[in-house]
Amino acid sequence: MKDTTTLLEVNSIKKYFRTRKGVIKAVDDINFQIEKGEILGLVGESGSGKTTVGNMIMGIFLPTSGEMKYKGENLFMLANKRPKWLKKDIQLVFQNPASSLNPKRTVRQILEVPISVHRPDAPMGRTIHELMNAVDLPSDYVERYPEELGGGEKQLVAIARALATEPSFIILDEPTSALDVSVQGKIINILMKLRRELGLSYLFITHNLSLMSNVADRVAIMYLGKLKEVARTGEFFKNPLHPYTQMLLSSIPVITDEEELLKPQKIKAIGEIAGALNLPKGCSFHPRCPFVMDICNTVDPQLAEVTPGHLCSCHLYSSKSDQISDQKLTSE
Amino acid sequence: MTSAIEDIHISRRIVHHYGRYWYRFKKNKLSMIGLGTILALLLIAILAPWISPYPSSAGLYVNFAQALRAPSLAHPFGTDEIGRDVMTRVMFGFRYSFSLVGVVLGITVVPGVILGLVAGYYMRRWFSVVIMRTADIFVAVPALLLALSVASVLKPTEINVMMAVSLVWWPWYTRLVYSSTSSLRNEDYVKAAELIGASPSHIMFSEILPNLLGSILTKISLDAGWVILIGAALSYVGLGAPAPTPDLGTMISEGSSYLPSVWWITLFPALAVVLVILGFNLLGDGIKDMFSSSIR
Amino acid sequence: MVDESHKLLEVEKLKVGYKVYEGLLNVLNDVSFYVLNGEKIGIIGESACGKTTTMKAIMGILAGNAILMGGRILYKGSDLLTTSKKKVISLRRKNISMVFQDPSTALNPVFKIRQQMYDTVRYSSERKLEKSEIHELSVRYLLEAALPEPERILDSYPFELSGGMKQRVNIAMALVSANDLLIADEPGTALDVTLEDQIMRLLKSIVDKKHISIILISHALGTVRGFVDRVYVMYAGTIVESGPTKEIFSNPRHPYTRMLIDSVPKLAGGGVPEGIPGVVPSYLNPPTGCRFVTRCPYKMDICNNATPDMYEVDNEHYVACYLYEKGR
Repeated sequence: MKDTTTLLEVNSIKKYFRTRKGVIKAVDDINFQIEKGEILGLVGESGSGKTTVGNMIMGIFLPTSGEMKYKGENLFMLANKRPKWLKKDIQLVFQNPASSLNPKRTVRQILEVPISVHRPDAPMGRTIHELMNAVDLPSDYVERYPEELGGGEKQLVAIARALATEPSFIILDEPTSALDVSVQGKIINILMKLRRELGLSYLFITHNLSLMSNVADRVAIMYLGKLKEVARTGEFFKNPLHPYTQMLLSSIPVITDEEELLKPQKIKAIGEIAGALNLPKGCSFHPRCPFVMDICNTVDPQLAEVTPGHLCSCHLYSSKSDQISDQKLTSE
Repeated sequence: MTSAIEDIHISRRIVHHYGRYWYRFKKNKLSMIGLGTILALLLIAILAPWISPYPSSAGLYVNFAQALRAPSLAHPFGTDEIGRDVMTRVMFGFRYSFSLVGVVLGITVVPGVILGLVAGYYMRRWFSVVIMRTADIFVAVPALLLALSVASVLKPTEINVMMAVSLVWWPWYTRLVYSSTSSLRNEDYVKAAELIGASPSHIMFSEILPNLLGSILTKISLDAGWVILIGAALSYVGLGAPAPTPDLGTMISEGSSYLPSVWWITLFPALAVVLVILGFNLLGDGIKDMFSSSIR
Repeated sequence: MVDESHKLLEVEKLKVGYKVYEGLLNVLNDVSFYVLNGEKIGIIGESACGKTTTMKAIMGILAGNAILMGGRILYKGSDLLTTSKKKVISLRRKNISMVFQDPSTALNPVFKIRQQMYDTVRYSSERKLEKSEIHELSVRYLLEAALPEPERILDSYPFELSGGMKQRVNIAMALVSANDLLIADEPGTALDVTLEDQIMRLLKSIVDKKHISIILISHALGTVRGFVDRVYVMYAGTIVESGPTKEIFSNPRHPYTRMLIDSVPKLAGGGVPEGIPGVVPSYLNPPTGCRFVTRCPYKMDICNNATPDMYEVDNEHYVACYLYEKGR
């Protein structure tokens, strides 16, 4: 393991699924890094490929091409071929807590598995007790079956399971999307506390932008397999560049008037997300884009740095930066 | 190490958890009837030597003076062609039936389930293909036919009959478990265990198998009825327990030549077979309900 | 006060429970609300608060172990709970219908949309329709639900359609029989946020145009806020607050409503709120008084006595909380 602050490095990864009807480009040439201790938020709607990215990093399947590095070491392997330290160091929390816990096993039995695999010398009872404390669950819950727990509690057990191996990096795939809003806060705050106390890094996959704005350090938006915009969170919400980002932000249902004012007002969501098999030529978003230009339906834009740290993949921002700001304001 | 207090908590949890299964089972009156019937018949089979009216009828016994008596107070099911009490022989007949069930299912369930788990988890490997195609071959042969062939080649003893039936029984468990396993292995909790690095045997036996117990137990109960039926059919054609061991199928066959005037020698064993199969079927329904999580 | 004659549906003190292994789940606790003709109301509640039970009671599709313990459901004046099964079914065919949460499970995967659409149209009509009429009506409803290629949709299986399209098919099917009332149970939850936005705007335009009443059930506060005229907030089987949408969101009174609104992460920032500590009380042994008492930071002794009435705090704004009892 090389000594570096970049924890995860993903270069030009692609995942193409061959089906009878054609090729589905689920992930098409994605690059990003995650630094140690950072939370990168990955946002996208269905078909964006965000879950596929998470699955490839976990090793659930292999990318079609590209390169993945973790702590400097090659990550391009299926999970069951990975060295033990890798399996220990990267963990995944699934979206649906009800299906990620075996209904026929108690919490204790569920937590015993990672401990016995990766920390066989640790005192089992005490370790489980510590894990339950870390996620703020009463210790006597260990005898319960998942059906006897609430949604939030189940997710906390899933998080405890992920922590059991003492990982450095956790992929959180929509960790609170299936939960009520009154328990989401507890889960997120425990995750943030654990990040602080244990120096963890997260890849936080979600479609909930309001949540993202309060959690992630940096945000990356995907649309139909491609990265459309990457920026530090504050910058991202203050100054969304990509039309798709603006469309997403204007669709968020908010509950206070002040939030309403923060949303970009002009972009109403229109059109269908193109079917993965019939990707539009050029920029995959152009059929829905209110600022579409001629170049958009022939050339696919590249991800480029528009301002320091703020990347965007859109023809509006390629080279002619001054003209662009005018265009953005006058288009309707 | 758990303390005494924790032990009490654990046992309360277990009682509470399994109590729910009993609640679901109890809900259906018919299942309770099935359970009651099987338990009663089992008890009768076990206690036959002590509770049957004429225990000697079960062994070498001849009493031509009492032969072919119609049902009466002294002989509620009448007597057969050599004077043996039919009721006693029916009670003892259950012994053979239940032991057939015990042996056949005892031998076939465990290997069948294990093969199904392995084939279902490692779906595309060569040994999975071998297992499933072998199972297909055995399934394609009608149980009765295979049992008959085997039994006619070997000596027609109880053991051989049981072996013959067992040979055709295991693939059904393999198939059942294979199909459930191949779908369950895509569940999130199985993926989670794999990603953590749990061993394949842990995943098959500790993650997947507990979720299959319901369907396996249901099948065992329903199978019991079938085993008895096939056993009776084999006995009927002469491949059952050797005389003088009481065997319901043999009794039906022997009594059939005296029909229709002397009806009791055939009827009561036949009713007994029907009763025990019905009992197992109703019991099987109840077990299915027990594991059906839609019933609250 | 509200004109009684304009009330399309009124639920009065509905009490429903479920018989389970552990005993009796005392879910709905005197639930009361109403919908006027052409009105859009929202019921906000989190999981297991009883909102689905209420809707099932209205539609007459409660589970086998459900026990009706009291109350009335008045539809145009007559009580649905005492109406004959036949009449209820005919209402479901022509007057009231429901859009469910998960668009995939609401459609039968082994039949083409054509089959399902035709069936819906056929059952909703009093007289026997010609095949051509059925087809024409199906196409019309699909177009109304903003599906641009109805013929292609009819010819497709559900798995060939995207989530947004499936939900629009469901809406089309619901429109066939929703002449008076449409109940939408979390219609956008399973969809992406841009799609949800589109679907909600579509629903709004349809119900406004056709003057259909709609009950929108959701735990997503933002969605409800952008859509309905009046809101009911439900907690643990009880309606705890009701009022005009603007009022409820700008001036929430009930402690639960306030804490719920506070738990939503704001776009404006401010970190992630803690949420509401504690858990929903068990329905097996619910609190005898106000059901929020176990988690309420303002609880008083009186809160344990009996469920508080709905006290009026403002114009048409009611709160079921002793803090607002007259004289406090």
